Amino acid sequence: MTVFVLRRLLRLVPVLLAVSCLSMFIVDLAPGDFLTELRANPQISQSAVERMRDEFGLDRHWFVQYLSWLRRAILHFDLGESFSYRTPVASLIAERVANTFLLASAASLFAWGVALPLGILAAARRDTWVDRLNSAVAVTGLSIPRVLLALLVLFACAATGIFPVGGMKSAATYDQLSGWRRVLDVAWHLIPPAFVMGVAGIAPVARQMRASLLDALGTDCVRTARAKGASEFRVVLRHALPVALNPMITLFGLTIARLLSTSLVVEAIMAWPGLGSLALEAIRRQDLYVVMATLVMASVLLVIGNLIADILLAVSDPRVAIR
Amino acid sequence: MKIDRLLEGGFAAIACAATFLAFAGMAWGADASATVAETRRPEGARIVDSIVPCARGGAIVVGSLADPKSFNPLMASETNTTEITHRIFDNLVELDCANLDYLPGLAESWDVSADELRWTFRLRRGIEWADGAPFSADDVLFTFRAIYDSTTQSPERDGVSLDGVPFRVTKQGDSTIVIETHKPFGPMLHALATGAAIIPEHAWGPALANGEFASSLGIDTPAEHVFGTGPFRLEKREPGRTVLVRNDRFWKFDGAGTRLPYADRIIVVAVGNQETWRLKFDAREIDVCSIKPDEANAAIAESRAKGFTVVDLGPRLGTIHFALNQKPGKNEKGEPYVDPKKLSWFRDLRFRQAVSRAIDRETIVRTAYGGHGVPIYGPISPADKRWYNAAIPTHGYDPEGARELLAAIGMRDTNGDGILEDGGGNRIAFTLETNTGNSVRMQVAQLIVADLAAVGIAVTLSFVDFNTLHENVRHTNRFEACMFSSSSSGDPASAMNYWLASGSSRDFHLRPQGPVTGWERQADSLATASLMTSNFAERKRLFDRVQVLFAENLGFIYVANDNIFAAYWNRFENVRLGRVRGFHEFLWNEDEIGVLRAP
Repeated sequence: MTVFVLRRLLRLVPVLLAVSCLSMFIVDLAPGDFLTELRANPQISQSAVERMRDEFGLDRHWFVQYLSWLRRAILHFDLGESFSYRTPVASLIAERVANTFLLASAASLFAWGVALPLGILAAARRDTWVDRLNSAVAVTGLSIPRVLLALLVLFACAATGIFPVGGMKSAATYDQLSGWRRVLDVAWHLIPPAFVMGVAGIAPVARQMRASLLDALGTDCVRTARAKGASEFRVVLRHALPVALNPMITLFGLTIARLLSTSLVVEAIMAWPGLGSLALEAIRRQDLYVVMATLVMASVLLVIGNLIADILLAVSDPRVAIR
Repeated sequence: MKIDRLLEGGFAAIACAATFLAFAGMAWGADASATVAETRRPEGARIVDSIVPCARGGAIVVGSLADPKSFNPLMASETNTTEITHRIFDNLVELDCANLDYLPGLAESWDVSADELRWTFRLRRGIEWADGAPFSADDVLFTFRAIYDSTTQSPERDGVSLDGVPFRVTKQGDSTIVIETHKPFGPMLHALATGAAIIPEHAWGPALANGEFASSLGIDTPAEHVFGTGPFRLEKREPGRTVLVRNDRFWKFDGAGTRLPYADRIIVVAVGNQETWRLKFDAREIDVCSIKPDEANAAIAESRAKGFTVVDLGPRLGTIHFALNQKPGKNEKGEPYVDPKKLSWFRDLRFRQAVSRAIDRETIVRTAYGGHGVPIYGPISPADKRWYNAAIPTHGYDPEGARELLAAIGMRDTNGDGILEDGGGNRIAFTLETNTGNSVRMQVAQLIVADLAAVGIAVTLSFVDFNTLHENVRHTNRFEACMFSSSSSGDPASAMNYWLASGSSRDFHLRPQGPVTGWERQADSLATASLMTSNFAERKRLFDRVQVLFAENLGFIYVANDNIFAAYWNRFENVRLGRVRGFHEFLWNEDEIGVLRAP
C-alpha cells in the first residue's frame, strides 16, 4: 500500500514538469504580457515599464524563465512572486485555498446528497415518474451553462432578496456579528454558489448511480436475497447497493480532481473570494507565476483525486488489489 | 456494512472540514477597532464649513472590481489599489474631483517664484500620523527619496520629474518644503495632487534603507502598520473585502467643530465584474455604482420609488476615437506596416475628412448611448471645462460632402457594387480593429461601419481582446485602423504620450522615423511649451491651438462621448460625486459624507 502511494506520488513528478512547462509555453503564446496593460496607461511612462520588464525578467525567452522558475521551485520551494501583488504566490494561494475548499465541499455535498438518493430511487422505481424526473434533472443540470446559471441565480437573489448577491460575508455587518452568527452568515452566502456549482454535478452522479444499481439488481446475489424473502427495501440498500458502489467511488475521486476547474467560473461571477477569482484575474492580467501555480495545483488535485479513489476502492472491495 | 460506513465517514469528514474551515474563517475576523482617545484640534487643521454638519457613525460600502494589490501608494499602478490608498494617504495638494480644482492638502498654502523654478509649500503644523507620531517636512523629503530611489522603480517617478530629471526637494525648517526644477514645470499642482502621496518616514524608513521599499506595504502587512495622515486607516484585509476605519487624528473639522470623517468605516468589496456590482447595488449591499448610459433612463425612472439617486456626471473626460494608420515604410521583415495603396488613402487629409463627415454622430449618441452623450470633434472632451476649446472646427453629418471629397480624390464606384474604387481599380476597403469587452463601444464601431458603407467605403470589423489589439497596434504597428478610448486625469500634461509625435499612443503614426514635419511639429512645440509655465491662461492658450491642430488634421477621428452616470442610495449627506483619480465608484470626498441611516 505504502509503495503504491509512493509510486503514484512519484508519477506526479513528470506530470507536474510537463504541466508547468506547457503552461509557461501557453502563457507565452498569448499576445502581450503583464506589462501590456501598463503600457496603455498614460500615467505610467514607458521607461518605468521597461524597468519593470527588466525586473520581472520578461525580456528573456520563456524557456529560460521557466528554468529559473523551476530551479527556485525545487531548491527553495518558491513558486515565484506575483507581478501585481509583489508577494510570494504561495501566500496568495494559502489565504484563499480554504475558501475554495469550503465552496467545493459544500457543492459536492449538495450534488452527492441530491444525486445518490435520486439515482437509487430511479433504479429501484425504474420507468416510473421518479425515473423520468431523474432524467429530467440530469439533462437540465447538464445542459445549462454554468455561467448562465450563475447569472440567473444572482438575478434571482437580487430580485427576491432572500439570498445575498454573491460574496462570502455580509460586507458591512459581518465584523459586528457574534461567533455563531458569523457561521450562519457565511453559510447563507454559501448556498447560491454551492447550488450553482453543484447542479451540474448531479447529473453524472445520479445517472451513474442508476446504471450501476440496475446492473447490481440483475446479479445472482440479489436474486438469492429476493428468493430468501428479503424486503425490496433491504434488497436494494443491503444487497444491491454495495455491489453498485465501486464505480461511484471512482467517480468521487474524479469529482475531487475537478474541484478547482469547476469553481473557477462560479467564483469569478459570484464574487467568491477563492482561488478561482484569483486565477481568473491572473490569467486576464497574465500574472505569470500565479497562473502557473494554479495550474500546477489543479494537476496535483487531479492526481491526488485519482489516488484517493483508488485507495477507497481497494479498501471497500477486497477483489481490488493494490500493488 | 463496511462500505456504507466508509462512505458515511467520507461525507462526515467533508462536512466536518467545511464547518471547521468556516469557524477558522471566523477566527480571523476578530474585531480590532481600537478607539484612540480623541486628540485636540491641531494648529494646522482645516475647517470645512461648506458641508452640512452630520453626526458621526455608520459605514459606507463601496465596490471595486478586484482586491487591492498592495497598500503602497508609491508603487500602485491600478485603480483597485489606488482606490484604497487614496483614502489612507494624503497628498500635498488635494484635487476636488467634482470641480477639478486644487485645494490645500498637507500643504496649507504655496507660492511660486517669478521665474517659476522654485515652489514653496508651507505644511500644516501640529498634525499627526494616525499612530500619533508628528508629521513633518522630513516625511515629505522621505517620500520623494523613496520615489526617486533606484531600487524602488516607482511608477510615480516620471510624474514628478522633468525631462527625466528629478525635482530638487529640500526643507526650510520643519514645516516648509521647497521644490526646485531646472525648467518651469506647468502641471506642478496637478502632479502633486495626483501623485506623491506622503508616507511616514518613521514607519518605512528602514525598508527604503534596505532596498525593500518596493515590496513593503504589501497586502500581507499587518493592518496596524498601514496608516497615513488620511481620513481612514486599514483595519482589516481579507480576500474579497478590505475594511478601513476612521483615523481619529485626521486634520479636517466641520464648521460645528466635529472632527472628520463622519463615517466610522469604509468597506471595499471586490465584486469581480460590472454586472455583479450592479446587482449588489440593487440589493442594497453596495452603496455606490456606475450606470451604463443605455441603462440610465430605466435607472432614473425607478430611482425615486426605490430610494436612490442617479447623477449624470456629463460626458466622459477622455475621448472615443479611431485612427487610420499613416505609418509609411516596412518593418525589419520587409513587410509594409500598411498596404501602400491604402497608405496613400489614409495619408490624404481629404479621405480622412470624408470619413469624419460620413459618420452620423447624433445617431450614435441616440442609439448606442440612449441619448446620453455628445458628438466630439477634438482631442479634449467638452466635459473638461477647464481645458476644452469650444472654437475647434466641427461639422454636421454630411454624407453628400463626404462623397464629393472622395470623388475629388478619384474614388468612384466603377463597377456599380456600391463600393468605391480608386484610380487603380482597388476597392476602398479596410479593417477596423477594436477590443471586445465593452458592449457600448462595439456597438459604436458597428454604427461607424454602417455609416461608411453608405458612402461607399467597405469596413470590416475585427473584435479582438485588449492585449491582442494592443500588440497589433502599439507593438507591431501592422494594422489598418484601430479604435481606442483615451482617459484623462484632468490635465493634458499628464498624457504627453498622446500630445507628442513620439508618444506611445499616437496610433495614427507610431514611432515616426526622422524628424516630424507639418502640423505635428507645430503641435509638438506648442504642447512642450505649455509644460514650461504654470500660468493657466498661457497653458490654455497653447493647448487651445493644439486642439485646433488635432481637430483639423484628423490624425484621430473623434466620434462621440457617452455620459457617465453614477447612483447612490439615499442614506448619506454631503455626497458630491466626481469622476477622476482612478475611483471606480466616483466617491472621493468620503471624509465629508455623513451616514444618515443603515441600509
